[in-house]
Amino acid sequence: MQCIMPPHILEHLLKSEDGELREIALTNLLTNGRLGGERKVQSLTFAGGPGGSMRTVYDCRNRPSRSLAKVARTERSGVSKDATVNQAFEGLGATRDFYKDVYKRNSIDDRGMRLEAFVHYDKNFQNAYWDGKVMVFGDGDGKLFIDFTKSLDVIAHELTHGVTEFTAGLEYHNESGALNESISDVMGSLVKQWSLKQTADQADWLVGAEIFTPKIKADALRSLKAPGTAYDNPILGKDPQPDHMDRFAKLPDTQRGDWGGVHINSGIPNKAFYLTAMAIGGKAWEAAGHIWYEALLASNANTNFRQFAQTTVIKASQLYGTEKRKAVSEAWAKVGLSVTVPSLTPSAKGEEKDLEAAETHLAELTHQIEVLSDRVRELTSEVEQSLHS
Amino acid sequence: MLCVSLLIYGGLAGGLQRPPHVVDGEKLSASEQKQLLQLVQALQASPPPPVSGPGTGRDVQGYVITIKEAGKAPVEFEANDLTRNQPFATLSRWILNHSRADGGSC
Repeated sequence: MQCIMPPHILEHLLKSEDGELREIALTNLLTNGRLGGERKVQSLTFAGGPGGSMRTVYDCRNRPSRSLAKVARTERSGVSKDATVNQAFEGLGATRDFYKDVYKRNSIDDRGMRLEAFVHYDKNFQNAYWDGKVMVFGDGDGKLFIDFTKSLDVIAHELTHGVTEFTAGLEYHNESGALNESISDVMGSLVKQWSLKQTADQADWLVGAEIFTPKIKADALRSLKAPGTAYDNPILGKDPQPDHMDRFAKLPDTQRGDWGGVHINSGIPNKAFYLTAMAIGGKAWEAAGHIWYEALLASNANTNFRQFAQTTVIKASQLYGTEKRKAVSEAWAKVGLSVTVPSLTPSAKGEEKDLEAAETHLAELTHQIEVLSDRVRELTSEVEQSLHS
Repeated sequence: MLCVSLLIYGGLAGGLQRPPHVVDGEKLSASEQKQLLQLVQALQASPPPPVSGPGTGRDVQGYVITIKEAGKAPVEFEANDLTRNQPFATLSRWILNHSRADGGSC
């Protein structure tokens, strides 16, 4: 006879301050096979309820173990005395709110998935990463890097890996992997711009600008505006990112090869996004970001650069029309990817002209309606004044 | 005499060059040499699992511990943030605590 722990007890244990109890509860839920698929379990067990996406930050107390971490801040607790805990907590919230407010996305999985971050992981840990479920932050070594939670775009970059996993699922190697990294850089940068209310030309377009120590002469980990220029010094070497397909780095699909250069070749789609955002102007998370987000939703695990570029051009046309479609297409051409979209090939030039004519006519009609509306308001105001006099 | 080094690479800062952390056994005290030998033997007895793919991790950092002994070919052990086991992590930390600031070599 098998004794099964009631689910309400297991879910209560998931919120325990004791890391070991949380692990036991999760293991029970997974091995019981009550729910199909780890992702579904993760989504349901970590959901904070409808629209919940509740945040929890754990303090690893500089130990290389997450199971012994203590709860440091929750939605119900007050502000922590630990700045790192607060930065992680606020960064999770800003990213969550960005996706909700801008793209109407309810947390990473669009179902209110709980957001968890582990800070002060190990001693002198020089990294931040996403393990498939949670985020982990190091404090840096004080020589090269400082606290990784200082950078909002880093926090948003990591969480966006979760969004990608729940949408396109871009495989983490070669071109699809570089797209995966680029989406995280793009969204990381947009979360920062959104929180600072910056337009595209006001943004610095840097990723991880805050995590180097002052004595390290480096702008950031990466630059979307100018891939290959984020740093150049004797300790770190030179930023190896290309900004054009001519300089695509052919690296082995191994850990030491960065799985085919996912952090290297991401410079190319990063630059394409920057050029798109600058050509369109205004707030980059609006049209440009929307196009990119919709293209992500329409992509799959093996989408490569050219396919993604085509999808962005199609989405731009569908969502915004000719002008923005041209901006996207020209941006990709500048990084060495000339996009040919089937419905816009020379053999269908007649269709393209019809579309442009229809869009122009629509714009004219819209203007005429606005003029008439203003006139109606003026007349209404005159009538009201004459009635009261 | 042992010479061990730890190379940390990749992660969120993928592409960044970082110098290896090197410990020359000849420059250690007798007790430190003994500690190092024990940690190396523990790692050799229980190496981390091989890294076969990125798995579910994103921006995980890679580590290579290289062990050189006189008269023998260097031996490498590789892991990442998700695969490093206790012997690997313990030796990594020990190397970081005892290595030269300028990287060095031996």
